[in-house]
Amino acid sequence: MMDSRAFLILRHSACALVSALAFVAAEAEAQGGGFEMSAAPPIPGYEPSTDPRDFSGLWRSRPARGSFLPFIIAGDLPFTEAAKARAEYARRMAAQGTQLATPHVMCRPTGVNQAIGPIAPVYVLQNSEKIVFIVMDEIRDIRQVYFADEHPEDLEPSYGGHSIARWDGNTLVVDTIGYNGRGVLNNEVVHSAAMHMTQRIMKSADGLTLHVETTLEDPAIFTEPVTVAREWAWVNGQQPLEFDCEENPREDNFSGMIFEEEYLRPICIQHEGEGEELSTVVCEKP
Amino acid sequence: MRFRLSLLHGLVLTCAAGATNGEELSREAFNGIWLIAEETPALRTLDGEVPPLLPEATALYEEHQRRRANGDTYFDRATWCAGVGLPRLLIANHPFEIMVDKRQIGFFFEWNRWVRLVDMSGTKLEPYYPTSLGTASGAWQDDGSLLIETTGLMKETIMDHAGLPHSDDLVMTETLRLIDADTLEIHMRFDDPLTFSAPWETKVVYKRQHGARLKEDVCLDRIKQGLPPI
Repeated sequence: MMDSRAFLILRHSACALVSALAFVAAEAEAQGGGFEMSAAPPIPGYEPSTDPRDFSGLWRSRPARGSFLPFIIAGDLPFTEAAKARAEYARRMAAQGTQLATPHVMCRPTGVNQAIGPIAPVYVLQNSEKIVFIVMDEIRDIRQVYFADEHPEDLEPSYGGHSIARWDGNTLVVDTIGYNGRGVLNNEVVHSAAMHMTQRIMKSADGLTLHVETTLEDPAIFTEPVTVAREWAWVNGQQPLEFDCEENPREDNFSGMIFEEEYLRPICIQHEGEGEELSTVVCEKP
Repeated sequence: MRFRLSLLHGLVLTCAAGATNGEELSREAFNGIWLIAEETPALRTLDGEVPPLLPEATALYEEHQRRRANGDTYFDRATWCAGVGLPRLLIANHPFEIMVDKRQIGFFFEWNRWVRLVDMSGTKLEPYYPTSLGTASGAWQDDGSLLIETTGLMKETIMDHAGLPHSDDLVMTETLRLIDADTLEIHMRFDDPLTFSAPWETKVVYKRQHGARLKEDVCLDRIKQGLPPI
C-alpha cells in the first residue's frame, strides 16, 4: 500500500497542473490517446450489460473534439459578450500566472462541467427510482437523477441543480434546473441560475459506449442553445479512489489568486512548517 | 484473493442472534435515507465502556478532549471541512442514504456530499493508499445481512467527535441488518493493534427518514456563515 501522505501531495500537485492545463487545452488539437490521471487498481469480474436501459457500471468520458482534456466543454462556444469578456480575462490572468478563484478551484460542487465532461471515471448506480452519477477519483461530485415527470415546486437552488429523467424509447432524457448560479461551465465561466441542461443518453448495442448529448440553455452566457456530444466508454471494474479537495488548504495554492467573490475566500489556510516544525492549519472567524 | 470472509464468519454467527423478527426483507429494503437514532458523540463498547486504548492512544484521546474543551479543534479535520472518514460519518448526526446496486453499494452521506462505494464483486480489494473512507468490500450473507470489511483508513481522522484515535492499520467490520422495515442496525467491530489492546465492538441503530431527500451540503459555505462544520 502506497503511503497516503506522499500520494496525496502528488495528487494535489497533479490537480493544480490540470487546472493550469485547462486554460491552454481549449486551444489544443486532439492528441489521440486521451487524458488519463487515475491509476486505480482494476477489479476483475465486471462485464458490460447489453440491456439498453441499464447504465450501471463504470464509464470514462472521451475528450471533446479539438481537446485532449475531457472536462473542456468545447473549443468555440457562442458566448454572450459578457461571458466572452470573462473568458478572455481569465485566460489573460492565467497567462500572467494569476488564477481566478472559481467555485471549482475552491472546492465547491462542479455541477454542469462534471455532468458533461467528467475528468475521472463515472460510477453509475441505478434502480427503479433513480440513477446516480458519481465522480470521486479526482473531483467529488454526485448527481442524483430521479425518474419523475416534474421537478418539485419547492426546489432549493444548488450548485448541481435538480435532475429528473424519463425514458424516450431506450434513450434516457435528463432535465436539470434549479441551479444557484455558482456552478461552473469551465474554469473560466460561471453559469447563471437560469441554466437549463437537457441530456439525452443512449447506450450502444454492445454495451460499451454511452452516447451523451447535452444541450445547454443559459441566456446569461450563451447567445443560443449549445449542444455538446460526448462518448463515455465502458471501463472494466476499477477501484474507487478518494479525492478530498478541502484536505490541504495550502497557503501556496491561494497565493496570487484573485478572489472576486467573497464567499470563495478561504477561511482556513495551511501554513507550511520549516525544518522540524509541523505545518498547521489556521482558521479565521467568518 | 476471493472475498470468502472466512475470518469474519464467526462474527456473522455471533451477530445473527439479533436477526429480523421473522419479517422477510429484500436487499432493496436497505435502500433509503437513514439517520442515527441516538446522538453518539463518543463511541463506546457493547458494554458501554471506553474502548480498550493502549497507553499512548489514551494520552492522545485525552489530549483531544482537553483541546476541544479549550476551544482548540485543530486536531479535528472537520474544522476545515476535510473528510472526517469512518466510522465517524456513520455516527454523525447527519443523514445518509444507502443505494443497493448489483456491482456496488453506495453510501451517500449528506455531510459535505461524501460518497462511499462498497465493492460487491467478491474480490477483496487491497487499499491503494489510506483514505478517510478506506477501501470496502462487501458480501450478502445467508441471513439477509450485509457484511462489509473496510481497510486503508487513514490515521489522520478521528473515530468520533470526542477524538478517539486510530492508526492506518484499523480494520472495520460492519454487519448491517434490518431490524424492521424502518430500523437499521450496524454492528461494528474494530481491530487495530497499534491503538487498541484488543478488538472491540459496538452497535448503532438508525431510523428510516420517510420522504426525505439529501440536501446538497457544502461545508465550506456553511462555515462561512458561522455554522459548525459538523
